[in-house]
Amino acid sequence: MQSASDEVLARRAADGDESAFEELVVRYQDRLYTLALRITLSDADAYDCVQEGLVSAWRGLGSFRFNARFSTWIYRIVVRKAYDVLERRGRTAEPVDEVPATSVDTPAEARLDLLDALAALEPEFRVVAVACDVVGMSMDEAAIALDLPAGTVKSRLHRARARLAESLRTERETAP
Amino acid sequence: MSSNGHENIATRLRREASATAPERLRADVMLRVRAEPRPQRIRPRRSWGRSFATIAAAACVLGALAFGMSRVDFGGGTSSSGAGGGSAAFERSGAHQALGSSSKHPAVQAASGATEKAFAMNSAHGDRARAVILSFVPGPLRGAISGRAQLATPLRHTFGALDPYHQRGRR
Repeated sequence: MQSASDEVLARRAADGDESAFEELVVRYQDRLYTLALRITLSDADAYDCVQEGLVSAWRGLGSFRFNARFSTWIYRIVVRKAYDVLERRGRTAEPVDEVPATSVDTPAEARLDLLDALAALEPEFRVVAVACDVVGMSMDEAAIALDLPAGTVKSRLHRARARLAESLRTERETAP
Repeated sequence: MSSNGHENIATRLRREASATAPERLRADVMLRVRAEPRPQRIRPRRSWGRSFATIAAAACVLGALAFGMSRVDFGGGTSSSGAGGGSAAFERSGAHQALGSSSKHPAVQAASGATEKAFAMNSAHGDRARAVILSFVPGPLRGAISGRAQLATPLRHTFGALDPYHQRGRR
């Protein structure tokens, strides 16, 4: 089961195989949760987005035509759910409820700086930075998942990185 | 900002901004999934259906075209117009098979000399008229008319039985 490709698992899931779908959930839950969390900036909303997105994917697998990658498709579903959350909030970014623990050895203070800077970005730039740099999508995949032209993804990613670097530099200079 | 700085930000984001899904997420999702009906895969069926429809439409168009051509008489559709009507009547009578190809055909033996002369005159008059007309029309149309003239007999034989007006109009 572990070695089966996403497409094989998705085809089995589309035929009603729940264990194949569960394997896909295991594979993607962290990435989907990261994506939703960094877009919505809320643990509870991210949890709901991923749960709803995965259930929607299960319902929609029967009509999935496999002309796109399963990963792109599921990312797109969860991104739409996260956009809906932002829409409901009137596109006002709320502060992160809590910062989930990560397993890296970066000092916690520096990590918070980066996450704060990321949270302070406008949603359209934050989404692209999260998709490409955090989740690891290619620019083409991000363009499909975010429903944006590839050129827009590229320019927004460049500007998001520049703004993050600027924010971190400013924070470092103003720190006592 | 340098690309090195951008790479540094990208690396830090990848390492520090990743989150782990809560433990209960998978269980909750699968609980809801098991409560849902199993997905019914929609098999693509449109490919052969679409190609069948295309082929059927093309066949209808070709059939209608051939049927229409069999009813058009470029040489004059009535007996009063001379050449075409005469030659059509000639073809219908079955005598054309003998006149053009085999003199041993019974129809030729049965035909009188006067009738043969009349048919020959009609035919010669028709050929001259057709040549004059064809000299005025553009090349592609000339080709179509010539092709139609060659196809006229087999088409008439094919569709004559299907078209009740085919014979009636020629009387």
